Amino acid sequence: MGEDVPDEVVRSLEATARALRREILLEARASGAERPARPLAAADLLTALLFHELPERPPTLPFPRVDRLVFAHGEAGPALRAALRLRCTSAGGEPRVALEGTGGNEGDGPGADPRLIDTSPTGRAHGMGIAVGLAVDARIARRPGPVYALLGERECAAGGTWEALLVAGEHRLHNLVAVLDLDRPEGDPSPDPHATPGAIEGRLRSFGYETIGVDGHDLREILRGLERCRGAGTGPHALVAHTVRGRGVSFMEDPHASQSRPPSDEEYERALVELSGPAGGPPA
Amino acid sequence: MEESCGRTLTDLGGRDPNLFALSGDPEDVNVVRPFGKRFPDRYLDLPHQEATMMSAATGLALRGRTVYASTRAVSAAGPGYPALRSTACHFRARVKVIATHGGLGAGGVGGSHPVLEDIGLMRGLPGMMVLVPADAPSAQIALLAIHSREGPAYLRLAAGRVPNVTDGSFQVGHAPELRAGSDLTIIAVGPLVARALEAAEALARVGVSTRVLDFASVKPFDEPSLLRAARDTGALLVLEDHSVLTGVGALVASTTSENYPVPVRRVGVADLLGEFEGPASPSERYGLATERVRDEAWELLRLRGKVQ
Repeated sequence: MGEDVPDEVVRSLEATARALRREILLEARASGAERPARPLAAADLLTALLFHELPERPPTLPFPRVDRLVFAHGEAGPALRAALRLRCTSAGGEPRVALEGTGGNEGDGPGADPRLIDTSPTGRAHGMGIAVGLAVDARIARRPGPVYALLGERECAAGGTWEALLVAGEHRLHNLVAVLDLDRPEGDPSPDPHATPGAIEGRLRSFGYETIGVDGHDLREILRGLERCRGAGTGPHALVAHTVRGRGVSFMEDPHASQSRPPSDEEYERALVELSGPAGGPPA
Repeated sequence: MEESCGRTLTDLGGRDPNLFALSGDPEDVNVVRPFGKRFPDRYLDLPHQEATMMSAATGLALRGRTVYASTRAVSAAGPGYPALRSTACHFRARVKVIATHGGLGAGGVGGSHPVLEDIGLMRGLPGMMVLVPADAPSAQIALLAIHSREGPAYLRLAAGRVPNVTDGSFQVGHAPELRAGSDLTIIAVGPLVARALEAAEALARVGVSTRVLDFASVKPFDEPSLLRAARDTGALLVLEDHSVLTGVGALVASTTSENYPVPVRRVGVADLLGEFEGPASPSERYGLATERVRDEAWELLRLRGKVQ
């Protein structure tokens, strides 16, 4: 497993996640209709993937850390747009790039990354299949970095996702890492016993996956899990993350208070104040 | 048709190291399996996993490969359709679908297999090229044509043996005139081009001069040749093993009514799903028999005042 994740890396990413949550709120407020609860739930996973696994510049490692990242998480679309904008800002680019109205990563505008493939505008069932194709390609071309697919909770309910997950298992695509964001309302483990993270892990193991269950808000645990996913194995890996909708803003975690409608202006202001503590700020 | 496409694909694979093939049909022996035997590193079996086949093909194409995805038309345009629409068309990827057992020829393997809506579904997809060759020589040229073009394509192959009726001078966007004529034009697709030529021959015996256009290139289609036929002959008869609601007949009728209205008759399948075969041949069951073609042609000629 190698050395543990250094404390300063975790602390820096925690600050980034906090900054990302602020951007998510700004993004959701600007769009008017978006509900930020599910993008907030995905914030820590996205931080780990976009700011650590898929950094702005290729890392000075003997091999690329990541071949491709497929974003298949329609509910967290605002979080992707916010993360790309944040990445642009912290790289010294324009603070507001024109990503609104696009799929988040289309074209070659500022913030776009050719390694990131956004399938969220294409429906829920197909992102995992695209990741299968990318992993097959990387295997033939003998590129060492894995292909990641970030799957939202709704994508995990689509039949096409499970067919593609099965295909990856059958073909032992050991360079494929499925990251499942199983977000739940706070205090509600799951209304459906077949959809609990444990049940889903069991199903994936029966498909030939090596699964790692993590708390999707603990960045150290996420990074350790992703590190293990990069290890050798006989089949694909799955990082099954349990997340909470609205995480990061105390009153947005309450499913009854704010998740059934877009927040009011006053609620956005309160949320931004909550997230503007001393721990904030993007990494230098 | 399948064998010649299989040979062409294997040849192409030898020349183009970026060619990759996926098979969704475990019973296929002729189309992509020969390629798979020769180039196992660039081949994957995905039996009955058509949705993943189409989206994985898009993933491979996004990395610069040209990907052939082959399965029966009923599967390609059935479970494969949503993934083709949402991935291959969305990303304008080089995903080339080879759909076997197109049309009524698939009837012999049971009622679930004939698909009579696929041309309509595919030509409705933005950016999708749709080719329905009439015979093996045209199918080979069509395969080479889709290989050299950007974007997704759908190549529909008829089941079983079909007679050679063209000289293989197929071109994307062209409707070759296989027979000259001035009283009537028959526009045909796929294996029904042979029937169109037979019908034209029969009509010639009673003094009717019939032009025959091979409409193998459904999208893009040859609008100038279509409108020229409308102007020159004044009546169009469309022959297809496809639903008349969304097939080439519908395309011909809408194009002429917008540009040069003339009487059009669509001879194809009515609003029906495929069924298990009874004693009648598929053509008779679905209203594509030679007599029907003759009657419809006669009706058009009557409408134009060319016969009593």
